[in-house]
Amino acid sequence: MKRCVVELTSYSTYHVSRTYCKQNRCVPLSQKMYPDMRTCFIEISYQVRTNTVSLKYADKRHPCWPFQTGCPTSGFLNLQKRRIVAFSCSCQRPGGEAEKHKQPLRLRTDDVFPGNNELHAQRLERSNANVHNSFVSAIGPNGGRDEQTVAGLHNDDVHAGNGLPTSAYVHLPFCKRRCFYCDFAIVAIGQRNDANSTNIDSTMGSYVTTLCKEITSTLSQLPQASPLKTLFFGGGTPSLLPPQYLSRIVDTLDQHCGFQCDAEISMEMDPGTFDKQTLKQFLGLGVNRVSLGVQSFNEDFLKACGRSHGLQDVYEALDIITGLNVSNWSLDLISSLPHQTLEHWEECLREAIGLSPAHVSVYDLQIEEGTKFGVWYKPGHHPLPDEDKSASFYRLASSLLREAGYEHYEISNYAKPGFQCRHNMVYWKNQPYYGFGLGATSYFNGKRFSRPRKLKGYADFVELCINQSSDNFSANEEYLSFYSNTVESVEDRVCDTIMLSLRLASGLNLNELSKNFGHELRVHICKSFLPFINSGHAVAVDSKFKTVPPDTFSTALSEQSASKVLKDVIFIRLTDPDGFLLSNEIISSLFTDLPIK
Amino acid sequence: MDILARIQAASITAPCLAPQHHHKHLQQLCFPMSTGHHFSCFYMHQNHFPVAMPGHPCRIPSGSIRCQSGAVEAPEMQDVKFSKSMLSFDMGKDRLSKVPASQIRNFSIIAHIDHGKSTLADKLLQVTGTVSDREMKEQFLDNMDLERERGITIKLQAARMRYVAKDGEPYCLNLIDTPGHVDFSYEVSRSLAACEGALLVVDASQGVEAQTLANVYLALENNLEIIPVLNKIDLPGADPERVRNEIEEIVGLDCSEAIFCSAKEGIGIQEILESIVAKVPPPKDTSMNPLRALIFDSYYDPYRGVIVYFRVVDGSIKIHDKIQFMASGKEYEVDELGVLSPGQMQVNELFAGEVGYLAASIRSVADARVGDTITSSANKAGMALSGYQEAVPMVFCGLFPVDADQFGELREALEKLQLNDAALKYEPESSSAMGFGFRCGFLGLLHMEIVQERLEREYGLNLITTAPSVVYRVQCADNTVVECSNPCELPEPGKRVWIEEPFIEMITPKEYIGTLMELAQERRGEFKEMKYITESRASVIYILPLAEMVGDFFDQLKSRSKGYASMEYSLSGYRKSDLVRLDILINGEPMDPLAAIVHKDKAFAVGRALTQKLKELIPRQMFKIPIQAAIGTRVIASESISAMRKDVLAKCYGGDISRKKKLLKKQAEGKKRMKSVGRVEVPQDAFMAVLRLEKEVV
Repeated sequence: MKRCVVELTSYSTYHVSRTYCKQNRCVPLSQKMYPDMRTCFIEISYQVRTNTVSLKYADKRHPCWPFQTGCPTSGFLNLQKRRIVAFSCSCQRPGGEAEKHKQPLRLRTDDVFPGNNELHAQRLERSNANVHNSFVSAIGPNGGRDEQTVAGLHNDDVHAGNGLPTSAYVHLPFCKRRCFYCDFAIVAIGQRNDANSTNIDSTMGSYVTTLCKEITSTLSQLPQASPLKTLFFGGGTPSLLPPQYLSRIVDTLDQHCGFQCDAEISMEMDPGTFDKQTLKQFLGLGVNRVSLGVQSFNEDFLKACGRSHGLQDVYEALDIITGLNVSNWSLDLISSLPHQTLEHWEECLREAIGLSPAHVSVYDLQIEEGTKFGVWYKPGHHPLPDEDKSASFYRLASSLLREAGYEHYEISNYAKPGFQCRHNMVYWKNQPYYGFGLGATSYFNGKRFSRPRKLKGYADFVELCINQSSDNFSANEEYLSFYSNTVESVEDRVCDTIMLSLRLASGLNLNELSKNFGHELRVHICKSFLPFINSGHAVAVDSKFKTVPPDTFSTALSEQSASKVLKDVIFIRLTDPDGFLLSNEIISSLFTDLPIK
Repeated sequence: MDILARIQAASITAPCLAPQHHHKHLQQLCFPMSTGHHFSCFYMHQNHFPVAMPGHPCRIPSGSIRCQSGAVEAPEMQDVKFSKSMLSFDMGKDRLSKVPASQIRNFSIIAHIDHGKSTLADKLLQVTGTVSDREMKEQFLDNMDLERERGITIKLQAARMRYVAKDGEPYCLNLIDTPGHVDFSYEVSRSLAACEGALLVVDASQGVEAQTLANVYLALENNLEIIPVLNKIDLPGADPERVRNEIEEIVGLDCSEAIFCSAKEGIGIQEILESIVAKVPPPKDTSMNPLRALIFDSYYDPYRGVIVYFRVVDGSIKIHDKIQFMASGKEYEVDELGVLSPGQMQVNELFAGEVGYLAASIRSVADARVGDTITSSANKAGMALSGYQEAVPMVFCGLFPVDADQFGELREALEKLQLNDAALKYEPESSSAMGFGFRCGFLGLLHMEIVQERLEREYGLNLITTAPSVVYRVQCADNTVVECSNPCELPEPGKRVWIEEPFIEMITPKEYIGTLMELAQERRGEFKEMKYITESRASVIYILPLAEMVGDFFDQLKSRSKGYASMEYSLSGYRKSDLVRLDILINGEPMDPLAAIVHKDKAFAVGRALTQKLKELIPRQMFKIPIQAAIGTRVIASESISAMRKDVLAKCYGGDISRKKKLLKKQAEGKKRMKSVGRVEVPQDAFMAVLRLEKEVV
């Protein structure tokens, strides 16, 4: 049985991997199927022998979304060779009666790959397919509800069978200048003009060459790289890179691992660094998500941060994005800037909401050592807002954005339904990912590795990679071991799981925790959570998606035997905004309580 | 040549083999040498042989003597000519030889701090050849690092010296060092009890100081012959004549034969040695009586068990003897017997009047307590020696390990320290905030500090100490009197009628009168009298609650007098005071270690200072924390720490995970180092700071 995950959104009706599309096992689903659920996760299992597909979905409205296929529905798709023939399913809504839907699938095209004509044509073909009904009932309404399958959902989802990443981060370090708060691995190249244009191109060109070498060397060493599901161009300012360079990177990746057809390809862009033509070319290369680094809607603050753009650039950039019908775009904002007041911040948030991005990231200014801000300011001291004020900024963002229909799905991220950043979800779900480029980190084979942060060091590193792989026939393992110091210890993995999952609105999946680290740890963690659940900073959620009252939770814990209630608590999540605001305190307390081996 | 060869053989084999069949040799060899110089000359020849001598066989009536290798080595000399140091060295080598009791002199040195006691002791060791010039390091007897650093003697040490007096007779001089600080007066009295005489060392420029007096009285109580010595006469400001008059006037000693000396320059050392021989009475020769030896010190050696230092009062003690400790009743066989010179050197027998050490695989110091009498199992003495009055701790404080896992180690360390320091008292104590620890009693403040430092330095412990407290006497309503040194154990206000606290009398010389008065006045001090000793010297006596002195009184006194002030204090008795117990509550939970017994008039100020400090030092937590100071149920000072508003890592992307995890783990580590008081986590250093502050303000 093969599995993939399909994400349904109100905008795009289907996403199935390109691999499957190519084999014409693509499974488009109409959103009409679940008229009250605009977005859900569907797990599709295709059985070649019977030529049937079963599916399960998770309810978007559930706080545990998108981790849990808690109320699965099964349905079946009948596929004919190279053609989707029919679909039928029976579903049970949470708490509702079983219903049978026998509807023809209506396919909609979208502009996921506007540049890919072949794919586009395929889709058109499919959308016109004559879909007729055929209903097979083999799995009951509760089919697939057992924990194994449920928990397996997103594991198989990512590891795609061979445990290798299906996500990649590519670092493009070039920036016009360094912002005053920034401590990233960047290369400042100044404003492009006639005089330095050639130099800039050659610097970028040689960087991209090195980068592509790294990609090739990494991926060609792997037994079988899985097609990418998400790709993220981060920086730096990736939008400074001329499209022909980006094309080389995308081609290299396509050549060595390929993309799934619904792959999310994000790119960070800064206002004032691209025009309509450039963006069009980026989109043509497959970029389908834009993250625009606006940071503030106030000219003074932009200046105070050392941003290379002004407010005018912001609006021009927005015009370009909307003009090209990019629906999946995100906007970055920074709160707690020097001299910022609650009024300023509210103004900024309202302006952002008015522009209706699909996704908003709100970052609280962090003063880092070695930055200009680090020299000028001391956290919590004037002109930076104090702790109380900074907390009120956070609360305001949370309440305004949620009011406006954004889900606060991660500590600093908000999205309209269906527009969570799938790439970043990989990080928070503690799943593996490749990292390519200057200072990039990767996580695979259980190892985290950071690349050198200086151009020279990075180039040497890539040379070493290439030499290692060519010198040694059984280089695979050696190469991988070169990649990182040590495999993450169990303790590290537990810490990763706790710290990352608690960033998400869905919280920590206890079933998974006990599956990976044992039941004892589950009980232990529940105990550690008790004070925070009592104080309202965390919430326990049971298998029926109901909040477990603190009293019930604490009673269950105080009982000697492994109580039923405790077993029933599937998720523990932090509350928004109280729990999120004190997440460090809570996470570090949980760390303190971890049993020491 | 034949003789020399035999000596070689003997000197090589003697230390490692059982001496029984060898000492015949040795006796024969040694027989022609009577005393002192001749004997030394003999060794001079030895030194021309390239064979290093691992030991020094010498003549004693009933057995051979071995000295531990390395304790004394042959000097490297090319010339046979006698130099002064060579001479003394050679004399020194004979210091293990048996002399009749009439030629033994046991003495100690008493002095005010910094009057040069240790320097004089060092010089005596050098001049008598007990230690060679090469071995000499400053303050030889102060062998603890701490002692050398602070320039004070804490543990008493002994040294056996050989001195050939002008009358041509060799004498055995036992110097028993005494600690110089008043806190250690108990140890002083212990060493004085093992002596017949004492050198009273007085700085020839500074004159009689507070401590001089205290120690002279102790010596007189022990019926010691006191030899006045005026030290540092080489210094420009020295005025020995004036000081001599001062001693006569103040102490009432006859100073007509006072010795003028400079230990540093080696002036007058010979006179001192002669004077010891002439004036200090020899111990009574009671070696025919059943064995009685007084233990004046003991310490635990991890390889040999408890090492006992003793003075043989009656009879004699031999290696392999079965001995009994009269108080504990325990019996042991002597494995090792020796003298301190100043290193341990083994001998086979010790007689009445001698000072030595023994090891007998004694596992617990409780079996061989300081003050106990050693007797022979075979021939028991009828009555034990009078021993020592038990030391009474004056100052108490709680000692808690920072890391709760170190509790066991702390207990062991205290047990071991107590082996050497009978004045140290401790009992287990537990507190909600600090976990398990000990309530310890000390002779005084310096003693407390020394013990703390030794625990930290020698045993590698990380400790938190609570503010020191004194022993209060509480008159209860049911007509009983309760002694209480722990504020937490103070009876409820309803049950007590009044509280008495110990008061002390302080004396300080004229120069520091102003400083002392100023300080004492701030601390409930009461002026008693001003005495003019001579025209230029006066002293002031103040009465002050001891509790007022256990904080930073000394530090203040020193800092206000730029380090010069000196004072002496003695307990003058108990008096009623208007005292209350001040509790500190964090989030409604009393913090036992911060509770203090304070004078009613000070309670408010202390309460306010402590709550403010805690507010400053306890980090914000997830809820609001009230901090209160209360007397009983009445809150007299209150602060509150507002709840934490925000502690969140704004951005966490792929590249950030390891870094953020590190930050969170660091935060978690910080939490581990905190002590929880109820739900509140209090950082260790907040505790420390408040305890420090408490020492200042209480």
